[in-house]
Amino acid sequence: MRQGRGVDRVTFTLLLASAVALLLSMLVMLLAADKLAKQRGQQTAITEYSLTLGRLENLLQAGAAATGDQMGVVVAGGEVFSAQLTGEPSGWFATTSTELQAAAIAVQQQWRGLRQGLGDVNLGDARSAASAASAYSAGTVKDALASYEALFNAITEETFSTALLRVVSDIRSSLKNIDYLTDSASSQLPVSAALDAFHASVAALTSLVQEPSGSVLLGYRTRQLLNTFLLHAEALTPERLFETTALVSQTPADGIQSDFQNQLVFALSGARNYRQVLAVEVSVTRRSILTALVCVCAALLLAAMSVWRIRRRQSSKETLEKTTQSKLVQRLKMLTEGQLVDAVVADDQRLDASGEQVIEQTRRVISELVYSSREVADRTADLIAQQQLVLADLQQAESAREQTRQSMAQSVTDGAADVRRLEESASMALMSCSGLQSELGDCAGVAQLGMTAIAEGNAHLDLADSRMSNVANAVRDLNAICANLKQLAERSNLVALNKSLSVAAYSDDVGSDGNDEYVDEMQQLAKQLAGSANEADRVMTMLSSDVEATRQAFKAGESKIDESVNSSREVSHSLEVINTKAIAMLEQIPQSIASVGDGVSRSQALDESLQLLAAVDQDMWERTDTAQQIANEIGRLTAELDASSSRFQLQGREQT
Amino acid sequence: MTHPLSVVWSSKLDESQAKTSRALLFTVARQCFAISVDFVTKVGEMPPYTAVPGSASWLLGLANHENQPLPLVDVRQFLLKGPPASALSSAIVVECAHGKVLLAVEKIITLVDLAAKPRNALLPDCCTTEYVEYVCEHDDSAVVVVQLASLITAVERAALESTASSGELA
Repeated sequence: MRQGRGVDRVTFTLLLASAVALLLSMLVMLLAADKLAKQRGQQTAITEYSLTLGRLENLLQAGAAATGDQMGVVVAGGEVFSAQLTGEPSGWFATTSTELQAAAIAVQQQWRGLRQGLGDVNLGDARSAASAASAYSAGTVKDALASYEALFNAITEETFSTALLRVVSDIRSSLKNIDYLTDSASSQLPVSAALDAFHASVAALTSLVQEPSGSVLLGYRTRQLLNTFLLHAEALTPERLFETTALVSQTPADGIQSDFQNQLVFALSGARNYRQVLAVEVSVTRRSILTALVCVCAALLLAAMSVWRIRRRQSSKETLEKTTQSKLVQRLKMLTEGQLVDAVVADDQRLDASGEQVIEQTRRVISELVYSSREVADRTADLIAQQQLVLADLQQAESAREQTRQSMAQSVTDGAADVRRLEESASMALMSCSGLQSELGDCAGVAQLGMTAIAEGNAHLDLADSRMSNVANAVRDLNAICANLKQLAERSNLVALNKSLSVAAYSDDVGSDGNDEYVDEMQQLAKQLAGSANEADRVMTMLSSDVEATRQAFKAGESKIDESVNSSREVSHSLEVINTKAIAMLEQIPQSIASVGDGVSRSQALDESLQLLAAVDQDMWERTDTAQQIANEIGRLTAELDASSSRFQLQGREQT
Repeated sequence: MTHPLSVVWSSKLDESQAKTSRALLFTVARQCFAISVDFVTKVGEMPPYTAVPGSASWLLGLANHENQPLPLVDVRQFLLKGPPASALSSAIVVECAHGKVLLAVEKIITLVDLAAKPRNALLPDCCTTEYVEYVCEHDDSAVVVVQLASLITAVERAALESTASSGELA
């Protein structure tokens, strides 16, 4: 089954081992990481515990300086840290570190004893107070000296007053003397004398600096330092120093304190022991993590080896298949050559163990080959049938081509005759064109003469038009004269009427004296004058209309003449163009005749090409016959192959 | 002031007392009219005149005639029905008992005796009937003989109305 999947037993074992190792290593690594985290927490706790013990020791050494609150804080911290140290006693991790567990229990017990001893220590407060007072005496002097050193440096850097520098130097010497006497625990008298000198120098310094009219002025920071020093200086009195010293000398030693100190030392040693054991455990845990990491790497390496083996197996299998296929191909070739039986015998001798499988595969391949050969035979038969159809089409195409060739040859012959006739016609056209050219030249001359005559007529028309304009102006003047004549006739009529009226008025008194006839004659004359003027006006009006119509006719004729001139110009231009084209045609006709000769030669070349095409067709037909013979041969060979395959199949079945 | 039409006194008789049958032919809007020649003293062209502000439309203005200012009357306002459509180019000086007046007409034709003229012609549609004495034929056309007395009376009445409305004419 594994061979079918491409994996052998060794590879499978390697894969399984790598998987198991990977799982175990991961589990161990996770547990070790958890254990290391807890141990780191315990390391922090034991460090804090040690610091707590150190603080407790310092507090016990400080004595009076330690208050109840400070002590309570220290004890609470010890309770917390000791509980953390022993808070994880069970579990898989606890069973692997019994030594650490024992050390934790010991630390717990030591802490309990220390707490109990701390209650006893609280009973000796007097000793603590005395110790604190002694320390206070020495510390007071030290503090005063430290503050004065800062003040001394500030003053020496700031002032140039020799008096002030001398005073501060005296104060420094006094302070150092007091410090020396205090540390050496000498008698009270020298210390008191040194203190007196010190206070005198301080008073001198104060008088120099703090007087309102003082000669020395100090800066703000220096004054701050001076105030601080003065506070320390006030504390340095003989009473305070010697009272604490007496208290220290009067306090007896206490056995309880020494027992507690021993317990504290024992607890510190226990804590140190626990820390060492914990460090060893941490180291072991780190090594276990490293080991698990190495196991993970090894598992990955095994997995890589497994993959490599799988790929190598696949490649070898592909190589084997390729070899087998090549052998099969070789055997098939031998089968096609009719040597299958010998090849099978030879192969049976060579392929002993795997021969059966190979023969089985070979049979399957041969069966497929038989089916394929039959299919090939069918397709070959189809191809032969199609080829026959194509041959029939080719025969039809050949007959059509032959007809086309004959028609083209006839067309070429006819075309050559036409070309000859065309050549003769072109010669005649050449002569006609020459005559036409001369005629066109004559026409152009005539058209030029016509244009000249038209231009002269146009000039005469312009002159007549101007004269008609003059006539129209004269008619207008005559109209005006006629209007004046009519006005004169009317006035004459009025004059005659007035005369008649005056005569009538006079005749009312005297009577008519033949003036009526005179007046009537005047009126008749006026009427005739008016009638003549009207007639002249009418005639003038008619004449004016005739003149205007004549002018319009002149204008129309002038436009027609212009059009005729333009047409004559266009005709002349066209004649020139025709003449130019005729000349060009005369030049081109010989070339055309020559090109017609080229057409004849081209028709002859086309005839030759048709003959070559017929030869090519003949060759193609021969090749087609050859291809048909080859196709028939292929069909025959395919049938033989089919028969050989069937026979081989029967032989294989008999052998099986 | 009994004779408002003229600024001078006339020695003529009343216009209803015509003595002769002769008449002066003139045209207004191409219609021939005639008035008795007994009261016509002179004819002539249309004289220059001065328009009178605020006067009636029939009074064209005042014209200088022989150094006398005479009213120039537009007879179209009295003789025609419709609005005046023709130009006025002549004037007739009429002198009667009411005074002198200038009648502006289109054209003065001639003097003619209407006694023998047939009076059977019809009055044209364009003419009014108030101032027509009769209608006769002359040269194959109708001549409307104007009753000068009624015309002058109408002019005088109109002048009085105009005077009453806008003051003295002259």
